[in-house]
Amino acid sequence: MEPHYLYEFLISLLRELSRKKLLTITVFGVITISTLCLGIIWPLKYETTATLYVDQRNIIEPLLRGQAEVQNINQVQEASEKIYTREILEKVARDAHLLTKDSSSKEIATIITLLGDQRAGIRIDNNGKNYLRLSYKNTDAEKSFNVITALINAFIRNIAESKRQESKEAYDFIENQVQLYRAQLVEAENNLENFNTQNYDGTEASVNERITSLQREIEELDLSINEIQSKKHSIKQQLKVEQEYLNLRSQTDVYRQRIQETQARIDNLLISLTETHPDVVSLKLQIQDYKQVIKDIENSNRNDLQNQNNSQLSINPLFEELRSNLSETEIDLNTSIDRKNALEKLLEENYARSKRLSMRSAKLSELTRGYNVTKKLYEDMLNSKEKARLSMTLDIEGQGTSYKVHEPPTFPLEPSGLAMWHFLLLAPLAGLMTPIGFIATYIFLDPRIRLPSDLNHIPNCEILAIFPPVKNALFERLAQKNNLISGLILLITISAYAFICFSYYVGAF
Amino acid sequence: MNHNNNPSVENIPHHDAEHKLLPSISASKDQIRRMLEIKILSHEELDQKKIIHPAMKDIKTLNDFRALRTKLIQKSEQSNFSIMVSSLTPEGGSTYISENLAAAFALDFERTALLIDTNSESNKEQLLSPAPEFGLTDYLINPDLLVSDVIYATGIPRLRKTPIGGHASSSSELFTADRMNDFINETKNRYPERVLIFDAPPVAVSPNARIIAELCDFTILVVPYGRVTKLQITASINSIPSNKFAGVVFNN
Repeated sequence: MEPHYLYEFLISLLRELSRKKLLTITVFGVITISTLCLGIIWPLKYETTATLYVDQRNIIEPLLRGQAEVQNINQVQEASEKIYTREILEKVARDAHLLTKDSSSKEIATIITLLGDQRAGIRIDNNGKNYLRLSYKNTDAEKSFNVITALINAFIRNIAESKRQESKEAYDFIENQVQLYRAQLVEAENNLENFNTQNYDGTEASVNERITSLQREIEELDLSINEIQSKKHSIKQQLKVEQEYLNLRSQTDVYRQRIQETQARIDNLLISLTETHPDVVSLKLQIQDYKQVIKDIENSNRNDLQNQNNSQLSINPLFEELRSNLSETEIDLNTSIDRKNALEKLLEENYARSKRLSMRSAKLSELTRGYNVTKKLYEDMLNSKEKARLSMTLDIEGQGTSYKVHEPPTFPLEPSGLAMWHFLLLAPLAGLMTPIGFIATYIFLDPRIRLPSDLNHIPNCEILAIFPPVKNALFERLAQKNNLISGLILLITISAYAFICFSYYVGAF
Repeated sequence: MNHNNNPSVENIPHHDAEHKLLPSISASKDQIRRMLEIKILSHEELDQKKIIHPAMKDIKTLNDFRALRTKLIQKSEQSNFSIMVSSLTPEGGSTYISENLAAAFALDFERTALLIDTNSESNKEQLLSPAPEFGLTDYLINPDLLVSDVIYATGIPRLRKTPIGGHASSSSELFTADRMNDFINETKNRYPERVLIFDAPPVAVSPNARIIAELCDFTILVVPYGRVTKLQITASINSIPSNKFAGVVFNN
C-alpha cells in the first residue's frame, strides 16, 4: 500500500470513529474498566522453579554394551513417569503441608490430582539437552516453595533408591546367569567326559592302521595257506603213490617170495626129477596160483588202498618221511587257517569299530562345540559380574546417580504471570484497540467507496475534485447530544482509571 | 404579478433588453455588473448555509471549487454552457455541490450562474427566502408564464436560482417537452458568460437525470463518502452518454 493510501485510510478511520462516537467511547470505557476489574481480581501466582541435571547413562548399558541395545528415552517423559506417581506426589503433598494426617482420602485424591496435572500442577519441562526444569505455581508463595523442595528431596531420594535397587538387581541377575552358565559348563564337561570314556574305540587313524595291517596279514596268510595246501597236496600225492606201491609191493612181495621159493624147490627137484614129475608139476601149479593171486591183489589194490594200512611194512624210509612231512604240513595248514579266521574276525570287528567311530565323531564335535561356547559365555559373565559388583559398590557409596540438582529452588518473592501493572497498561490499550480494530476491519471490508484513491480504480472516471467534509462550528459541535454523552463517559472512564491506579500505588492491591 | 417580497429580478426593466442577442463584450460586462441584487447575504449567513465566499476560513474548499470551475470552463468550448450535477444516492450532496459550484462561477465578476433545481426530493430550500411562488415545472405547465417569472435572486451576487416548482411529480414528462428546450435556450443566452447548473436527482433513482443529461452539455456525478460501491459508480457512469460525462466529484 502506498503511504498516501494509508493516510487516507487513517483519515477515514478517524472519521468513522467520530461518526460512531458514542459507541466507540462506550466500548472503550467498558473494556478499560472491565480489564481493570479483571486485573483486580486476577489471582497472583507465585512460581518456584528448580533445575535438575540429567545424566542419561543407564546402569545396565556399560554392562551389556555390545550385547544388548539401550534405548534413548525422552528425558521429560522419563522424569514424568517417575514423578507423577501416587507415592511421590502423596509424599510431596504431606511434606509441603498440603495434607495433614487427618486428611480424608477424598482430599488426598484431590490434592494428588491437582499436583499431578501437567499444566496446573507440577510442571516438568526440558531446559536444554541434559537439564530438566521443575516448576509449580500457587497463590501462596510458601506452599509453592515447599512443594518444589519436597519434590526435589523425594525425587532424588527415590531415584537413588531405585538406582541402588536396579544395580543390585543387575548384580543378582548377573550372578544368576553366572551360576547358570557354570552349571551348563559342568554339564558339558561331564558329557564330554562320558562320551570320551565310552569311546574306547580309539581314534580313526589307529583303527585304519589296524585294518590295513590286518588286511596285509590276512593276505600273507592267504598266500602261505595256499603254499601249504599245495605242499600238502603234493605230499599226499607222493604218499599215495608210495602207498600204492608199498601196498602192492608188500602183498605181492609175499607171493613173489613164495614163487621164488617154490621156483627154488622146483629147481632142486629138477635135479633129481624130471619136469613131469608130479611134485614138480604141483609146484609149478602153485607158482601159477601164486601169480594169479598177485594179479588179483594188484587188481583189487586200486579200489582198496586204505585197507592196505601197512603199519607192519614200514620198510620204506621215504614213506616214513613223507608221512611225517604230511602231518607237519597238515598241522601248519590248520594253524594257518585258524589264524586266518581269527584275523578275519578281528578285521570284521575293526570295520565295525570304524563305522561306530564315524557315527560318533559328529556327536563328539557337537559336544566339544557346546562346551567351548559355554566356556566362553561363562568367562564373559564372570567379567560382567565383576563390573556389576563394582558399580553396585559405587552406588552404595552414593555416587553415579542419574539426577543432580543443578539449581535449587528459591523462595518466590515476586509473583509470576500477570501483575496488576500489566493490567493497568493493558486496559486502555485494549479499550482503544477494540473499537479501532473493529472499525478498521469494517472499513476494509465494506465495498463502499470511502477513500479517494479507490476511485482511481474505476475506468473512465475522471476525478474532478475532492471536497473535504464540512464541519460545524466548534461550539455547535460541543453542544451536540452525542458529543456530550461521549465526553461524559470518557470522563468517567478516565477518572475510574486514575482512581484504580492511585489505589494500586497506595497499596490496596 | 409577483406578490412576494422577493421579486424576480428579471422583471425590473434594465437598460438592456432581455431578449437581445449577445451584445458587445464591454456592454455584457456592464450588464452583469449592473445586475440588480436583493439584500446581499453576509459571510456568517453564507457560512451557515455552507456556501463558499471569498473570505471563508476554509480556503482549501474555496480553491477546490474554483479549480473545478476552471476545469469545466476548459472543457467547454463555448462560454455559455450547462452542467448537470447529480449524486449517486439521495442526500448525496448534489445540492451542496451544485450550490457551491454556482457560487464559484458567481465569484467571477464577469460571470453569472443560474442554478436550476430539478431535484424533486430535496425539500429544504435554503437559498430563497421567503419561499418562491413559481418554479420550473410551473413554467413548463403554464404557457402564460415567462422565463423571467421563475428566475429569482439569491442574495449572492450574480447567482440566480430557479426552484423546481409545484408540479414536481410530473417532472419527467415536463422535461421532455419543447418548452424545456425553450427555457434552456432563453436562459443560456440571456447574458453572455452565463452558466446553467442543474441540480438533478440521483441517476440511479430517477429517470429525470437522464433526460436532463441529454439537455445539458456536461454532467458531473457526485460520489458521497461511504455510501456507494464501485459497481454502482460504474453503472451510473455508464448511464450517461460518454461525451457528456465530465467526471466525478468526491464529496467527503
